[in-house]
Amino acid sequence: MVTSIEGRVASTINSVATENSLIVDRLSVAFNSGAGDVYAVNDVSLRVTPGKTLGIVGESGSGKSVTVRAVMGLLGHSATVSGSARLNGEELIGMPEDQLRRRRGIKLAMVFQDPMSSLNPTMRIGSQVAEAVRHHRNVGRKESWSDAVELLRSVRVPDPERRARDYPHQLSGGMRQRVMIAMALSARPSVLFADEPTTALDVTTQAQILTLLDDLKQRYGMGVVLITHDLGIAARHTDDLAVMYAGRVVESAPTKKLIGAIRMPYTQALMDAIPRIDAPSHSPLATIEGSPPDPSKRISGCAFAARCPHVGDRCVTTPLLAEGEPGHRWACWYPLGVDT
Amino acid sequence: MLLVGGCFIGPQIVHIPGPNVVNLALPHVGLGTPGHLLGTDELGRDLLSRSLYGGQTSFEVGLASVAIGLVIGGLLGMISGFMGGWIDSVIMRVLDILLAFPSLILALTVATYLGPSERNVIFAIAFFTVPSFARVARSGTIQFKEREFLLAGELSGAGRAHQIFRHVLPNIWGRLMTYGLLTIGVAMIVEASLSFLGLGIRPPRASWGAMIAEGKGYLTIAPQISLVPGTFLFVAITSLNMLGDGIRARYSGGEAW
Amino acid sequence: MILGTVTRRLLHAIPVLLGVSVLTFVLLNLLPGNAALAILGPGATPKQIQIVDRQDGLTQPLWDRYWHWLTQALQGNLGNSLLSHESVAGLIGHAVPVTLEVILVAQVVALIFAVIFALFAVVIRNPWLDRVLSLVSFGGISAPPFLFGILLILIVSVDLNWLPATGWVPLTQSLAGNLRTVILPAATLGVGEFALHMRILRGDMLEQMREDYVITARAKGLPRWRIVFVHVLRNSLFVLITIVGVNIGKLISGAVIVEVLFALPGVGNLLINSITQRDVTVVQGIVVFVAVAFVVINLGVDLLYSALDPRIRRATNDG
Repeated sequence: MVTSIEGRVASTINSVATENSLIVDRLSVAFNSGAGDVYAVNDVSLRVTPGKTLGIVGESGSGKSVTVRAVMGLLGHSATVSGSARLNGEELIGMPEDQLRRRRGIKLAMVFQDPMSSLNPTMRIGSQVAEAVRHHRNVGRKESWSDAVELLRSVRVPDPERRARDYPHQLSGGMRQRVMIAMALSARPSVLFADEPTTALDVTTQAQILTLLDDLKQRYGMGVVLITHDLGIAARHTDDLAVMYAGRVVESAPTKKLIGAIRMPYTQALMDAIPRIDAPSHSPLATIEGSPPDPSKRISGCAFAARCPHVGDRCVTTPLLAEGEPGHRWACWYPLGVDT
Repeated sequence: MLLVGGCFIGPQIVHIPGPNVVNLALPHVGLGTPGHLLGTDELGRDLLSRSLYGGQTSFEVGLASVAIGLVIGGLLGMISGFMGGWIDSVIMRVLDILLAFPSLILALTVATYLGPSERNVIFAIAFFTVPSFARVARSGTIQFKEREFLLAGELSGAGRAHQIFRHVLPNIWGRLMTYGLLTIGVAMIVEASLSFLGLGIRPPRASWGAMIAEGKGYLTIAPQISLVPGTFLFVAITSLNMLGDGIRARYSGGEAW
Repeated sequence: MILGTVTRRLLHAIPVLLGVSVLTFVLLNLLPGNAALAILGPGATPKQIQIVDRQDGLTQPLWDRYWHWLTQALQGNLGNSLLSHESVAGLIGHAVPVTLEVILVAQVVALIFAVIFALFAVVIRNPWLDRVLSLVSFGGISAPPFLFGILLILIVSVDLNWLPATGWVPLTQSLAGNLRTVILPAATLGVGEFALHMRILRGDMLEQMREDYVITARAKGLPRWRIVFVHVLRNSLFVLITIVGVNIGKLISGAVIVEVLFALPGVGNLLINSITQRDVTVVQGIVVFVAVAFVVINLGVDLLYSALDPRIRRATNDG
């Protein structure tokens, strides 16, 4: 755990100002593999405020999920996590597993990408939700079951009394994801992480689930972290945005501000990759040229340089994430629309 | 490996009494007796010597029966997998009947029919290893049949038997051999079991299973009569299994049996 | 429906059972050792042999004899012993409870211990415990059952004199006496089962620990023991049931050896005695009986599997 004195002072002030906020400060994650360390996340700082949605956007492998799992303490033994993540002023990184476990599901909850494999195939969904209820409130089986049914109702599962007796394979993908959300909501968490919650779903269901998340956020006043590779979804359903590339945050700002004035070429590339409904159905899907760098290699300079259409001489040194405009940070030597 | 060598070469280089030399003056002496390092049995026969000769029997039976099972089973499996259709159904149906049966009872029945002798024990054990070899060979054959070069071969009208040997065999050989190695241990256990039940290798010929059974009656006064061959058997099977595990680990990623 | 599955499986088993009965019938009736010779002793004259042969219907053509046997067998009559002239069905009936008890006790106890030790190993994650368990399971899988039995007799019966080495007291006679006679045979038979089940269960549970639903359970904040006991074990049990089914043949084979070793009056011992005495009808009866039992047990395991697995349960209900 690496925490500077300044960082500590700053966060004390922050925690007074923002109750139930999650403040991630210079979080890094390295995986110890046989061939050497893999740096999956580098110096990531984020802030999640109650009642707001923070979007983390990036391609797969950019470190979005790893960041969130590190905060939840869900990474395996091969991961070394450094930096800080404070919930309500309480440091989570380095907290003993037993104490962290008591906060999981209660203060911090999570919804995963594939609701089929994320649910236990051999347990009734009602039991799986009730189990979460029992974990944080000491209630009997009967009560936890009726709580589970109510939770299913609150995520708009039709006929929840009957559905609760179903097994995961009997439900549609959207229904399964609702079950996952019901489970995550069982303890009214301060922060809900949603890791690509709609990637496995069709477009209509996607919209329903995201709207549901928006409603629940309003109703319970929890902070939501929405992880997605789709900047379009993020633009519609988040309040703040952080764009990640190769384990770093490369641009962050309030969503409206960022979408209105994209500075980082990588963000622009993500924007161009959003599938358009009005495009001819056979036109090739725009993708970003090239592939993200191999995380097992340390790169000198800007990690996006190799794929960047605006690459210049200064890109051989690593650009730092800095506030270029009030509330808008980017890590780029040649930001779009700004004279340098 | 050491044990195999020991069993076949041991008696030649080390001066020990023959396995069937009866010495009624020295019945069931304990371990470490001069001249009888591991003691003697009820007839004063040297246990080390008998265990080594018994090992020869075990390895011979194991190897021979697996070899026969592998050849017959492999052939049947390849034919079955290659031909497909009703030939496949018939062969696999018959083999399923054999497979769907407790192996020892099957071996017992066959051994009874043939009468106890080393050659017949080999046949009996080979008999029940055939189905599993056939399965391994069949699944391998079907996999490779789906590859293009066989389609090309079919077009050129090459003989089917020729194709089987030319293309299929080299491809499934490794798998069959690995499976064979694993089966040797099983075959040796079945041999020991048959002999233990008195339906395998006939005395006075030494066999680990038979020796253990002989010693059963003398457990109170001379436990070594059972324990010495028992230890040999255990070490042999364990080493074979370890060898098999190692090979399987190297082939891992392949299909599970 | 489940009933449909049962019917289909039973129909599927018929050719297998017929095949087994034909095979054993042909093999046994071509036996070089003559049953009549066995009955009369080596001093018998050819004429005496002929008389005995005719009495037992051994002179008719093989096919007629098989047909006769089969029609009788379907009515539950497996013929009479060539030696004692007792009914084969009766002989088997007397022997079955012994074999069944030994197998059941061995299997159940082995399963209980396998589950307990596998759970321990997965929850605790102690490298030393893992090493000891893998060594034990390796040895248990490698050792033929009679070897472990000999050791048990030597230690428990001969050295410590705690339990009898041989013999059988039926459950109907005395519960304590029955327990004293069943412990060693069941332990002998069960140790290999335990080793195998433990190894497979532990491996599968560790595999399951990497599944997504385990991460979900962790994200819920459940403690590790609860994840292992409730979530992982539930999913791994299916592998265990499959292995139990696959292993039934081995278990029956092992029971034969154990019965001989401990001199138990079970089916296995009856089989071996009949083989050595060339009592063909008894051997035939037992082999077919074992085949039927084998098919029925396997069917039972399959049904248990589909009754427990909600995924299959639905599939069978729909189909």
